[in-house]
Amino acid sequence: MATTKPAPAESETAIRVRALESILVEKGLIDPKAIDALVDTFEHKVGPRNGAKVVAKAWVDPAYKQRLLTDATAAIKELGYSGMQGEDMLVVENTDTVHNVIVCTLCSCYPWPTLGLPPVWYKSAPYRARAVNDPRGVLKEFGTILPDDVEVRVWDTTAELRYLVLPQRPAGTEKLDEDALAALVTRDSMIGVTVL
Amino acid sequence: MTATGTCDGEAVSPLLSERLPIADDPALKFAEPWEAKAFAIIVKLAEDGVIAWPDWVACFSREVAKATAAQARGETPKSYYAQWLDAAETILVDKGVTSREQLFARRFAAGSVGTGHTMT
Repeated sequence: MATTKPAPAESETAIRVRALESILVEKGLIDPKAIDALVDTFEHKVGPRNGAKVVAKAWVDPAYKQRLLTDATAAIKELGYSGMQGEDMLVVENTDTVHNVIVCTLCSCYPWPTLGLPPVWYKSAPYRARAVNDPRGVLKEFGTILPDDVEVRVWDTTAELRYLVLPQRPAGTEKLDEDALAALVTRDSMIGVTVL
Repeated sequence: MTATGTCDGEAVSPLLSERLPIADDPALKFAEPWEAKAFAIIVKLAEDGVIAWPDWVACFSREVAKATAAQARGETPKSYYAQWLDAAETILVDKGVTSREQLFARRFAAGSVGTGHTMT
């Protein structure tokens, strides 16, 4: 039982992080409570449900969609999602003729306030290498096969600008309200590797 | 912004035939608490203006490029958050916030036995 089991030894890596943190605390550069609060935010408060609400609102509210496509940062902030390096956002809209995919070839920049932390594959070397070189091959691995006449645009995230894909609203959803629509929107569709 | 090696065709090309780790997508966001802490430290320092985000991306990208090149050579790359931690220490040393000597001294004070030892 837990009471008789010895505590696992702290790993060398965990000690490295603790050492780094203690130096930063000592210098007054970070507050451990603020770090804990930020971890809590990333673990519990941000995630693709935020992005799904943005997408659903854009589907039902043409004026909001217009604002989203012209000033995504401000439109997303209207719903309360901002900060955390999600300051400069660009939303790219999928249509019958254009399909958008996002990647960060340099590292793993990602729209945290709207999508949370990126999935493992997004950070992987093969995705970063292949999304630009062979986007249709990448999409196929996700089961996404687009007609040949659909243009695939790949958006490479930078330190300054992050992207979110506005997927096409599925057919037959005319009677659904905003909440029901949001429930249909997946993380992968907002990265652009799947369609709805 | 320049990155060292990420667009190096020779180093990256074997990755073009690798399948994506799509199934390797656990719900758990951080595998260990240190990953969350290392991640949050950098995000907070950037929010507070101690480090500029583009500087961080440039520094982190160099670690990612090293790991990408290692993977392209068929080696096992460092984990994502190990790359993050390497970059975090590097940028804070480069900015003069701390030094390698201070980091080592603090690690030993915190109970490190060094990476060459095996605890039994």
